Amino acid sequence: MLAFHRVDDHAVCRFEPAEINLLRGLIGQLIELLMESAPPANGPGTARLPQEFFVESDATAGDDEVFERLEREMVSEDDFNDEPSNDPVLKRLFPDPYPDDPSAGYDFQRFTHAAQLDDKVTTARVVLADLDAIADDGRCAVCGTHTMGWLKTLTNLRLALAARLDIRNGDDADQIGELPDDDPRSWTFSIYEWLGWVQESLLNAQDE
Amino acid sequence: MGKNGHMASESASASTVGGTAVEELASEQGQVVRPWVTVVWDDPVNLMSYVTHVFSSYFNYPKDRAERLMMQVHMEGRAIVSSGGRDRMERDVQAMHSYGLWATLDKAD
Repeated sequence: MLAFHRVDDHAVCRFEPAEINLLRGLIGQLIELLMESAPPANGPGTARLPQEFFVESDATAGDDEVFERLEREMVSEDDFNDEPSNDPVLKRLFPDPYPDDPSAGYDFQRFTHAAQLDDKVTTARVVLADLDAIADDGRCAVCGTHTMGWLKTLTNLRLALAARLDIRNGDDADQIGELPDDDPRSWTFSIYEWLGWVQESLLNAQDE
Repeated sequence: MGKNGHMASESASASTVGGTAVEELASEQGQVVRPWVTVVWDDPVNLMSYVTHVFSSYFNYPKDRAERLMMQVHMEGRAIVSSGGRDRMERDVQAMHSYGLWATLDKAD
């Protein structure tokens, strides 16, 4: 990837084809995870998003081992039978604003979850649309109104991967960074770091 | 240490950000109602530049104030980033969550 730079009111970078597929695959997994967190339709204070929010992208069609690995990273097997609300990724994406007041926390989630979910899915789809617009030269142009959607989505992906890697503090990140290359966590961590590099690059382009 | 002194002063001024001073408000019943605060907590994931960007974008804080608050989060583990009525603070917390920041509500002491 060539870093983002400013061209008029756009931030422009170049992605390798594999990087575009990686981003599409990660975002597809994120949206799938988010949709699974949606409360049942017609529940109090909730609204299930329409089906078109589900992404059926070519990149997630499934003949690539990479995306099978991604699926294992993004969708925790350990928590498969648990309530979605117990998933550490979802807990981090939708934090409890009242840790000392379960009743207030429940009400907050009840009244805000649908909007929060909509925001995360919508911004993820903004990024997918920009990725879809990339031609063979790999040139990716992000307009000003899409920038925050990119920043939010890159953050959500990093939060999800960090929760799966059990990164709770800076020391955890340092330790995982020193794992040997053949450790599966090392592969996930390299993606986590790359996403951070993309985000930093996009932020720097805002200041140019 | 000068740095600590700097952050202590930010801590004091941070309680008045967003244009609403932290002071006791009288409710209609004449009871004293304490305003609420939005607290952002440190996490190992979010980039320092991104946290600063969020504070300046959402709260419209000048860059130097946004950077001071970001550093307070980073160095002290948490910072009060806004204060006011409960509804408004819930909106701020919801916004912080939408940016991926870890935020909670608390009553102002």
